[in-house]
Amino acid sequence: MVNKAILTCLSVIILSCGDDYIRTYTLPKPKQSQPENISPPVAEAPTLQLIWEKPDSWLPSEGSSMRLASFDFPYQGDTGDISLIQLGGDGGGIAANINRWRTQLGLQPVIVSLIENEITRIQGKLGEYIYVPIRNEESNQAFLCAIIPSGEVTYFVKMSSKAGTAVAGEADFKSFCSSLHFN
Amino acid sequence: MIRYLKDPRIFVFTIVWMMILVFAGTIAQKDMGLFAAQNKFFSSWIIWLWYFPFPGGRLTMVIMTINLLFFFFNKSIWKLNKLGIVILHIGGILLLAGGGLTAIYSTEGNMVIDEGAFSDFVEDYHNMELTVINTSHKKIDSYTVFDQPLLKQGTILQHPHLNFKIEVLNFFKNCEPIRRDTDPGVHYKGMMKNFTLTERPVEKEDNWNRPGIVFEISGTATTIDGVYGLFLGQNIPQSITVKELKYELVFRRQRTYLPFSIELIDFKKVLHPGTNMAKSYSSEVNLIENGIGKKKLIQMNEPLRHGGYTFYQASFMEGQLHETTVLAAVKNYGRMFPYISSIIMCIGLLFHLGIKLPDLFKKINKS
Repeated sequence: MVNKAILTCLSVIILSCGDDYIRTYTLPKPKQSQPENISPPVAEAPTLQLIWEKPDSWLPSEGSSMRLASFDFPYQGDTGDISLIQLGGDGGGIAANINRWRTQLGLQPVIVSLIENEITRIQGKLGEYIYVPIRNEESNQAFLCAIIPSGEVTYFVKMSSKAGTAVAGEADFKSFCSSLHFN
Repeated sequence: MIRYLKDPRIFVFTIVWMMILVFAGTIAQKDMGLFAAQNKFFSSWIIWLWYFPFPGGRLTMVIMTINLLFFFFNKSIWKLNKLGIVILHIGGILLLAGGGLTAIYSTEGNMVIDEGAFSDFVEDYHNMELTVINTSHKKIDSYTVFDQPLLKQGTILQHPHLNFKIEVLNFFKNCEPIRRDTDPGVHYKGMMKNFTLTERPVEKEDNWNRPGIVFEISGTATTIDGVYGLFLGQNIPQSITVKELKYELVFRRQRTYLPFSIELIDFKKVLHPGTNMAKSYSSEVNLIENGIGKKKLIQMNEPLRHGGYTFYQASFMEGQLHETTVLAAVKNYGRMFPYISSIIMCIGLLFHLGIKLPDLFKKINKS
């Protein structure tokens, strides 16, 4: 009898550990408030278009994903692939993106507090942006990356190439990133 | 059965097994990541090593708790000179109960707030949700949320609040949107008309992954029926209108709304002199509850505790217009248990020592 009671209690305890994975709730509609220091948009404001100065050494190429623009940088038998994309907000953040790129290159991620050592801040036409060169010496592959915040969106520029191509293309890459602005 | 369940050897075996799990989990987390190691070794009921099952951390702790509970069935302990031992065991059970509460009910996530803005929700670090928002009402939005455990291939998601059903076709822990080269046909809607989600290898830390979901809406008997896709970070939600009701479908980190909100007044970063290295970060916030605001300062090692949540200064982002603070929000119902149980166990040990001391002195005097 005691044994049955114990078994029943234990079964009830274990079986009662259930979860409900569908939730419903209502919330007031989000307020469309504007911070005081930002002027509200003019109703008939002209649409801003992102423009840039393409370095002479770059060739326009076919984009294969969510790219605003794609370029090739041919150099000594290698071709650097340059992409420009736009993401909402901060696009996932500086640390997460840098570590994602490092992982793609087969490198260990760096902890958030050391990220500042990896980056250079450069003043461009859209304001200050972050430039990060990442190189894997073993595989001889490199990324040149720029994270360019602009209002409610962030632009990401990335060049993927061999390490030597990245060194040769660094100046043009920075010049392209600094040239981004709205017409 | 009681005789077996109260056997003290069970406690010895489980504590030794826990030591092995702690060692194995610590070694494994280097390669598989902290969260995955925690799930595999400590939050699991069973661990499969090749084809052999072993008790996971959760099962081991449950066995240990049952064993300690059945200790009280020992008739020999209900004596005054064993009171210290009884108190010690009560402390141990409380410690395990606190661990159980933490394992089952604790939540942790991020609260991201821009300077001048406020937030009233916490986003989970690991789990995603598919949220269907009925935006037809003028003043309120109705949310129907399907949590990640339901977002598996083949699951049909239905709810009386929705006049359509959703079948999950694919769920990716990490994916990349790739532009299509060819027209996929009229059955593909929204983003899926121009993009496809391609699975990528899962990174060991969740915040490096970009989860995505592909699903089919049916039951509307209109052109709304079709295949849709969403991924984390997609800045345009999927909007549909079914029988004059407007819905937005959003795929995002699992949100928990709070009964209070936090406004970021100012974020401060102090650098080490002459360097770009941050020395300290702090967030001056306004804690708003029932329309009443209280100013608080959150900085490293000085979290804000409110409503069962503890908010730690975790990170920050510097934007062109403003700075953004990232607070780690932890809700842990078992937070006080280790303190209380440690005090109880100390009392038990002191009691036992007090009872045993006269005998000890007698033995010393005799010798």
